[in-house]
Amino acid sequence: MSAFEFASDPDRVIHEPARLKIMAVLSVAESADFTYLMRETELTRGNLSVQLTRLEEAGYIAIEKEFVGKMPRTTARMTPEGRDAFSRYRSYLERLLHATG
Amino acid sequence: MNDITTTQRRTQAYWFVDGLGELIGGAALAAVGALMHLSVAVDNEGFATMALGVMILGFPLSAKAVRWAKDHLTHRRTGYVSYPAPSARRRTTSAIIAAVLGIVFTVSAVSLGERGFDGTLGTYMLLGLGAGVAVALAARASLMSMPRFYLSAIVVATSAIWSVAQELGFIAGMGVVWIALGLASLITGGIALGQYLRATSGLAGEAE
Repeated sequence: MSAFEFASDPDRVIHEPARLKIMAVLSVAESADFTYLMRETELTRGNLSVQLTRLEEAGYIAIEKEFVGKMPRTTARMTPEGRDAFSRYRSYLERLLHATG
Repeated sequence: MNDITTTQRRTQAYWFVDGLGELIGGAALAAVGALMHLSVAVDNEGFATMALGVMILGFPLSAKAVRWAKDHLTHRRTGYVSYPAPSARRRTTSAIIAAVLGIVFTVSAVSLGERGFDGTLGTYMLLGLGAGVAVALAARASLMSMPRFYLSAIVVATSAIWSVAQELGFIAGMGVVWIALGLASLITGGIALGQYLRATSGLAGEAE
């Protein structure tokens, strides 16, 4: 299979850099909150909310809201579907790199 | 290293970013080490019982203290990350290895007449445990890109070798190793906390 065929094949939900970074964080964590994700992705609050909603709609993450003492905390965790999709995406990248030598 | 791996490593290392675990865990380790050493130095088994008490009660309490401190400091400034618990298979494997090692060492000590682990077997155990902890700390330093854990590794290895050279025996020697590691952790944890507080001084109370 050629590199051009691979290039047309990524998971478009994860392929976007900000969403890929969110998925990378959640792939090694049980969960992460909004503040951590905002610092790690360097996105604005509004933009991060949009990207999280997109991932949630795809079924790749679950979002929970809770209170820690009097402080609200919004956390995201990767779903099993999200783990499969992230694993497939990494394999895609590795195959692409291998195909392009 | 690519961006994905860098992001993953930074997230895995986030637990250590504030030094709180080293500060609180280091104090508990140093206390256990001091009690173990004292139990041999003054030949009073009451200190050994106290050391066991600190291990059984103090370590879980210090873990709770770390989580409380993180909730009130780190999570408010730079966010919250929780980590997956070790798998059941990994926990079972660790328990089996610990049980097998315990049985082997105990049977060996009894058959060699070293009930206090204060002979050749105790020396090898001390060196083995020192080497094992030092390698684990060095691996953490490498995997997390946190050089301060190399210092802790060197401290553990050096204190184990020194204890063997001084012929302290296993119990007193391990006491020295835990004291050294505890004090090193207090220093590195204090420095890490200072750096974290300076780097995040404008972020207190920002969390959503």
